[in-house]
Amino acid sequence: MAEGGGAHSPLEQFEIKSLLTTLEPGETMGLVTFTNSSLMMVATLVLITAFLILGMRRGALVPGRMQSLAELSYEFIAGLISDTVGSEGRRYFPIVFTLFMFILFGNLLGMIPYSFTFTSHIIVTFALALIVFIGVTILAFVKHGMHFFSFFVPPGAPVAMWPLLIPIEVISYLSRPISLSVRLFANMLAGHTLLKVIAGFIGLLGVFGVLPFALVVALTGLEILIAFLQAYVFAILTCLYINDALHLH
Amino acid sequence: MRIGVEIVAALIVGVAIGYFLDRWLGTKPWFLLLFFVLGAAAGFMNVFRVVGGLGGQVGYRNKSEPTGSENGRDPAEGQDPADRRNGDG
Repeated sequence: MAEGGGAHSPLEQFEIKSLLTTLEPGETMGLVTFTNSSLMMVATLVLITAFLILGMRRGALVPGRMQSLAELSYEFIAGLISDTVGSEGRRYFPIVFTLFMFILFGNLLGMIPYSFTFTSHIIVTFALALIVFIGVTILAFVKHGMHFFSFFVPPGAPVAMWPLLIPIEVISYLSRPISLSVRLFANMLAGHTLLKVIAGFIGLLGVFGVLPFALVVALTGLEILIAFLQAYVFAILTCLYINDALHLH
Repeated sequence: MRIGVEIVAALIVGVAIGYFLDRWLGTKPWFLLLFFVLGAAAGFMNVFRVVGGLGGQVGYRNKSEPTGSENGRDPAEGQDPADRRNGDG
């Protein structure tokens, strides 16, 4: 932890700082507060929009570099949906693509030194997971009506077991948004904390600091992999939940 | 990481349900105990599904249906008409 004057806490990077606020001097809660987290989210949105619009501006038959990237990301999610949900899942492409790009760019922007990773805050990931959970539940109700509740009854289970199995299934269903959000949040939080802790050893060890330095280089690569992987996991689980809502059992 | 998250998430939900049922009905600590056990059971079941390649906690599926594992097989693959009839029943 921070003992010397120059040392920083590895958790300092997650601090929320308000940049613009409507907070009056006497109040404890402002109506609107623009924080560094909000700034990074706006930056993410601007970057995604620029990435896709600039990439597809020319619309050439033989794509250039930027157009290839834009098409690659589109086809990646389109393939993911058709693999997990099937052809009727194409309708839900916009939400899955938006979630994937938002999380991916948020994770990757967080890898830039001195920036802020908004996906390392549980409230952000929980809000995203709750959007998926509520949307999927509404979708299942619209598609199947009251038949949706048969989702909680395992097929082939004897009636005597229902009082035990139905609560377990309901808890299992309700734990979806929590596990979805905690997985993303914990990966980002742990990875960034680990990077800062190891980086703190570089100065302390003097000449032997090359060892933690090499480790930080390797971990940075790993973190970029995790940034992709967690966005992918979030997207594929969203697809699986949509598939469940459409087909139930 | 994945497996730990599944257990903890189910336990959080179970304990939260039990705690608030107790607060509401004033039956401390019985619902908490009951739902703690149910939450643990749900957590283990989720882990079982992850390990069994069922692609996370995605509810029960028919054994005949190919499971939408993370490798992403097409669910339409195994849906022959016989399966559909089973599903409607």
